[in-house]
Amino acid sequence: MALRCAILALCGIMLGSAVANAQKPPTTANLDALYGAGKHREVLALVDAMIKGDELLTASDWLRTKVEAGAPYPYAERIGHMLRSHFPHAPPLQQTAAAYLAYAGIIALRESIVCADREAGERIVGEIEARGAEILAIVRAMPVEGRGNAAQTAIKFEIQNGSKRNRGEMLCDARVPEAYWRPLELAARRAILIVPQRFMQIEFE
Amino acid sequence: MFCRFLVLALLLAAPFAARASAIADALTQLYEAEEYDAVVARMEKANQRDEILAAFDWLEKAVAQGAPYGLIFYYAQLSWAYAEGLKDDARREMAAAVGLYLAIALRIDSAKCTDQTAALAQFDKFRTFPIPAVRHMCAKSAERRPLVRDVAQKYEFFLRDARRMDPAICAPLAAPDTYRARQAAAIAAIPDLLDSYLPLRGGC
Repeated sequence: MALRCAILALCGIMLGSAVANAQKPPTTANLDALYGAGKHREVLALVDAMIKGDELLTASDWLRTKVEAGAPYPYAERIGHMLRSHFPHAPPLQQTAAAYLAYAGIIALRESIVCADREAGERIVGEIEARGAEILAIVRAMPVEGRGNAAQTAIKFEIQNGSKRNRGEMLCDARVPEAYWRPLELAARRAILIVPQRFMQIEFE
Repeated sequence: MFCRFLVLALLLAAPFAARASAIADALTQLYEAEEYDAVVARMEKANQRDEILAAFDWLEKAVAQGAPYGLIFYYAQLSWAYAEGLKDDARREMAAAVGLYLAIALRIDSAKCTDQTAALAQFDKFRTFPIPAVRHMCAKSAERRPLVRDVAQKYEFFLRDARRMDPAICAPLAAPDTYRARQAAAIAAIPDLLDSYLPLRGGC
């Protein structure tokens, strides 16, 4: 009997510890390790859980550092949605949210030159636009200065971070050989104007 | 003549460090003045190795940033000469892609013309002289064709709104708004246009 009780008690302690571990929020070191291993879907699932919980600021700062280090497009898109959901009544932050969405679109379009699926970039830009429809509607209703600011911010993100990315990451599995995408690199820089124009419904001179 | 010099210069194969040369400045000036025939004429005068390489580099960048029809045509020809000179198959394919991009560009840009038939007449003229690179692709196995067609379409997609109108093709529409509907029709016709040059299967 005593032995059975001891075993049960031990199991209880182990179970309690496992539950506590499962509930423990991920640290930025955990996120960094997964990010470094290229496990983006796992990273983003953890970040989403952090954003919904009490770890908003940690998740937000971590996401921003990764975007500034050249993370793939879903990271920038996450920041846009996070700003929208947590600061819905702050128009400047809605502009920033739209800028992050546009930046995500620029990444997708510019990097998609490596994809075997020729329409991958356009399709993903369309998906980002659809998922961000609420944010974009707010910014599109703003005067031209507001839309212009959002567009300029997206362009600034790309200028600062564009050279730090891994080509085509999280965009497509099947790629064309380098000989087919390398000549398009310069033309693809047009994405920096195409996407903000489309998202902010603005014409650049 | 420029083609021959270009090939010779490239075959010499010394490493080329891009530099802002006098010819690049001169070409930029002519380009900004929309003197596209003069751009070609200036390039044809180049006979020093550095000048030739700087001019080709300049043209490559100009095309990738929206140069008009005449310069795309010239670039397609030079790219083919370059590829032939080097016996480089990947470059031959890229020359074919530029040739196809040229065909698409002219079809799309015809939508911006007051008289669309003026541009299409130029297009027909081009059709009767398909550049050797496209012919070369026709003779190759079909598996490379989609890749080359895709490169042409990606060029067109990125440069559609950046590409300059060539006044030699036609008088542009006074009201640019009206061309969007025409342009949409032209875009929808791209696959058929590509099929007429380089079908995915069969001869061409």
